[in-house]
Amino acid sequence: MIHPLAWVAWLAATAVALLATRNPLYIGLILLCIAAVWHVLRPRSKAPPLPLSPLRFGLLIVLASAAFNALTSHFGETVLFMLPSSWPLVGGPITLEALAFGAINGLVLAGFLAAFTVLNMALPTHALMRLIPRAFAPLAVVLSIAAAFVPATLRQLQQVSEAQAVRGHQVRGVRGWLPLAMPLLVGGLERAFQLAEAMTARGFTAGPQATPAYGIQRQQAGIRATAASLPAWLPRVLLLIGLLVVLSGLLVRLAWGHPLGTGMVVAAGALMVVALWLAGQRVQRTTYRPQPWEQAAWAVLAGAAVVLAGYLLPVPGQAALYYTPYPRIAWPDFNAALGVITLGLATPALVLLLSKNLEAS
Amino acid sequence: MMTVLSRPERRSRWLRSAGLSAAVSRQPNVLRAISLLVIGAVLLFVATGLMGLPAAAQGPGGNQAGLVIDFGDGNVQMACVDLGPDGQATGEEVLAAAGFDVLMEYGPMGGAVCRIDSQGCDFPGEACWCECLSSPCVYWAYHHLVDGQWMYSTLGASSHLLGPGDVDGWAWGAGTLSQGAQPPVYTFQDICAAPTATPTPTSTATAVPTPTATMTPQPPMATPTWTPTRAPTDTPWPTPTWTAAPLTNTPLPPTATADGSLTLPVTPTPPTVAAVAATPTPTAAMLALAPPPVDVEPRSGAQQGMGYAFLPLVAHRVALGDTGGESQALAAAQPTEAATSTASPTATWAYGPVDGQARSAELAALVRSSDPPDPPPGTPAQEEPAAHSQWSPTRPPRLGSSVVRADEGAPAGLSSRTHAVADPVLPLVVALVVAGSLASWRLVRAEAASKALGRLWALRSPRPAHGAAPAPLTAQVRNRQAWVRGGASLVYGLTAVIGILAFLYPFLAPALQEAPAPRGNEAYLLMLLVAGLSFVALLLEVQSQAVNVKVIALLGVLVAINAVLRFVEVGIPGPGGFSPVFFLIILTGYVYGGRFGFLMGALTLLVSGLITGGVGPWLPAQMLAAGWVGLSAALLRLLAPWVGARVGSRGEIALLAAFSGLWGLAFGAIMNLWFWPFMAGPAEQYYQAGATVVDNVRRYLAFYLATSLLWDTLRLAGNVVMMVAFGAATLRALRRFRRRFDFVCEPPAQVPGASPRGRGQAGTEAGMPAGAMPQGRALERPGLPVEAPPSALSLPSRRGLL
Repeated sequence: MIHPLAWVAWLAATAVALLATRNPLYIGLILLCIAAVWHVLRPRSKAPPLPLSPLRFGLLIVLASAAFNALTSHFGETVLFMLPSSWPLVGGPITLEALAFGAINGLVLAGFLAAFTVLNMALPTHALMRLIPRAFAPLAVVLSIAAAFVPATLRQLQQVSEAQAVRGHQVRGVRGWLPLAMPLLVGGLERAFQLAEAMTARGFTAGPQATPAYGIQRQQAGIRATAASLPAWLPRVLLLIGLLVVLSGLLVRLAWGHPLGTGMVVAAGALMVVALWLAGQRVQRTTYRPQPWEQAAWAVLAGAAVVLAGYLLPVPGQAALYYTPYPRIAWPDFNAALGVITLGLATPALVLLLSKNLEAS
Repeated sequence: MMTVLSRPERRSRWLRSAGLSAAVSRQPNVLRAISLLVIGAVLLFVATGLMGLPAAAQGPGGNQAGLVIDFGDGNVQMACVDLGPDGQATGEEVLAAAGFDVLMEYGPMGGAVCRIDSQGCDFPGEACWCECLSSPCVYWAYHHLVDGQWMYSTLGASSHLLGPGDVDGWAWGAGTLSQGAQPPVYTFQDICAAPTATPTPTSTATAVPTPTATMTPQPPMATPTWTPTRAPTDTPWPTPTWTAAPLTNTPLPPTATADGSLTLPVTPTPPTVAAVAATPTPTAAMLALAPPPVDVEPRSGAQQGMGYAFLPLVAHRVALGDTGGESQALAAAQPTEAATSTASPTATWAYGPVDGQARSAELAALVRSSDPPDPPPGTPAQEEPAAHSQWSPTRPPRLGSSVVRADEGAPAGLSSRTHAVADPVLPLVVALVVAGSLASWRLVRAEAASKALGRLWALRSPRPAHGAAPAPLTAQVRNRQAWVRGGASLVYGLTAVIGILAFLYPFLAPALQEAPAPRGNEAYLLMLLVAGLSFVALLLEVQSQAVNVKVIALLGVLVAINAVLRFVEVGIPGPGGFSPVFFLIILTGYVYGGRFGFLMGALTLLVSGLITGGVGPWLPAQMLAAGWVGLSAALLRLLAPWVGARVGSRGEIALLAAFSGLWGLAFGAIMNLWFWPFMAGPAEQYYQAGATVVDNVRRYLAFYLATSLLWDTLRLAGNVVMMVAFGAATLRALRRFRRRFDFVCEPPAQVPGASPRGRGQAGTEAGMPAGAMPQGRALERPGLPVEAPPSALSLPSRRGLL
């Protein structure tokens, strides 16, 4: 198992790489890396099978996107054929360039989908839930209740439908579902009622301002203790200021096109992250069976960091990332060093393979 | 949340906080807090806005841009166009303002110029690229002057913004997509010599024999401001008015136009005007002949002096070539035809009521600096009366919102401002949105807290226990509560505005697209970041305000039920965009209040995404949109009494069905918006940079109709069917449980020193400073439930059971 945060880092690196380039060669490399990870993960995954195989789905997206762009965008010099210009939206020359541009867009989109599919395969639901920031502790409780109740609700649905079937009920038409839906809903509400009573009885308190238990409080030290001792209204005030700055930045960018606006939004985002962190420090979180941060996680993180650095920092040869088929389609450039850097995204596959071999031996 | 106040008092507080009561001065209340913060926001906005303004406000040569048009047959024309007060205009606007007759085709990629004056393709009749169907491809190539060289424009005329000092060039000739025919190079100084720029005395003298004598006393000099579109132009152009005087390349005889049978209110003084603008007589003649008497009343000198500034777009132009005269002369010789074909011959150039002498000097200098084939300096260049007079009638209707606006100061017709974003309209819209969202949210809040789950949110009953009178709140506590609530309202309003702006970003962001960055995705990333931030803030606020044990349990179970519905949907794909989740989201929002509905919507999609492996980049947008569905459902509670829908009546179900149907469409539209610019990539393909907001919306509608309407219609139908079939029964169940959840937890009888009130607040007031806790708290066992211990839990009243 690789630590969930390392997976998040991998996902971020993949997303950034996909957004940063439109060179089909690099996009293809990224897709290859994702496919490698997917291939290694698939045998051990417990995720529910997808209705459509990712490969087919990706192909569908690429084709649809290419057709859509070719039909609606009439740039480009290599005219394949003409549609009557009186046709709205699609009329005009259909060019190879527009087709290629649409296909590249589809590749990026398919890459996004594939990356998230891999994440869903790699992390079980509880690990994903563990990623919810501490500031959202009450919501995390709601989420874990909901996740825990989903199988129960499914069971209940089955019971209800069996009971109704025994009574001779058959689903005919839309209203035929009513005898199934209502017991499900009312039963669920009864459960909620019992749950609320039970939680109250067990001393559950909601809200981030619950008094921490002494034992845990004593373990706190350093900056976390300082943060927890700050007044409770501070995060909210920071959040408000952040929102105001976001709005101002957005307006500056929108109304005047001033690049300062982007900077303001980013700064406000940082401020709000700080506010979230501060709010989270007021909540105690205990972890049953914590996930260790192992060497594998370090390796994945390093791979992600290399990719992020290569794509975001001004590295020589980065111009190869930029590619547009317009106005006349041409073969894209390729920088070998950047290609090697891109392979950092395949680190999880490597790590998983190695660990599998270790387990086997 | 109020905890100890009695019901009536609570209600009065809500009323007061909703601004409905006049007694607001007693303590610092929500209004004061809100107004303070709003003022702060506005100040911040204005301050940041001012930083951005000066860059646009100033530039070389005042607010003018140049235009060079090469008709490909040796005829080259230049024009100097005033950009108006904000110093920005698109290439299309500049073309139009310079008085050329421009035909454009508006496709999905923006406007393409088909014809300028008589050169090009008659678009509706033939293809816009009629000369480009085979090689060589001849079309109107568009260039910008950069460092004295023409650069082929990668953007269309309606997308490229000109600033002061910029020069656009158009040339009719063979080209490819990456390069085209280039017009001759003229710098901005060549075209727009500033009015004060060294007029050569000789040329002025020759060009303007007696300019000022006849000119200055003529107030109608301000009348170029004749607005073509405003004039009811049904009456055909009177034929006898012009002779084809401009045919000759000689200086115009003064009497060229005035010898019509009409009585002209202004006796034109052609030499003057000719020298000034090379288009003297037509202007005057048109003025005189235009059916409605246009603004010809004399102005005061002050007005004349200021008039120039009022004119948003002032253009003057001059023809340089010598061959264009024939066609123009033809057109001029048959004014009737021109008139009938265009319905309203218009003077497309407008001269500000500036000092005629300065302008004439400027133009004379301009003429003199032109190329050899030109008429000798001082000769008034030939004019193109009719050719340009047929410009306007065709153009304005085609561009959605190019409103021809007439300023009070000068009723000029040429101020077509298609740039909605740079307009002062945007701040106004934003202010309206801010005010509207704040107001609506206040209503939702008031409504949700007072009626829906009022006591579910609160930990303790608002009724005093055992008949004891409620202890009055201290001023300090009230003060704090006011701040907390004011801050909350502001968060809701701000996030609503930011969220709407973020989703509408593709429509509003031409400025971003004007110069595409290499990466090109900045707009998209910014939008994502902004939407994500506002969503996180909203979630945090709703959570901290709204959560206690009962809410947590209820929400958790309902979300699970809804996620199962979604699970079933993923397993058995329903028709089209149909999804059963909206049904419960809307009903819970309606019955349990907006905040509950918001959390229900957002968490349902999150949980089902987690369970079905549907975590993806779309998830935040989905959560936000579904949250809005639930949030807005609370508004129906306000609407229901208006339309006479009683609780449990059929009208109520009909209202809910209509509402959910509406959201079936709107949800799809919002989700489309989210990926629309992304699908389109960074290029200016689908959402047209520089086009008007209305134009963009129209284009998006076309896109929506073509791609998503059917899909979303199935969602609409599914929502309506579900609401009609299950709505009444589900409403009854939800209402019954609302009453059952309305139980009271009473504290243990006597805990020494422990103030029940204080503990109640400890559980509810999320934003309270720690120091505000009552002293009794210290005696509590850590981890003690803020709600009462089990022994004191009174059983739910059974009266609600059906």
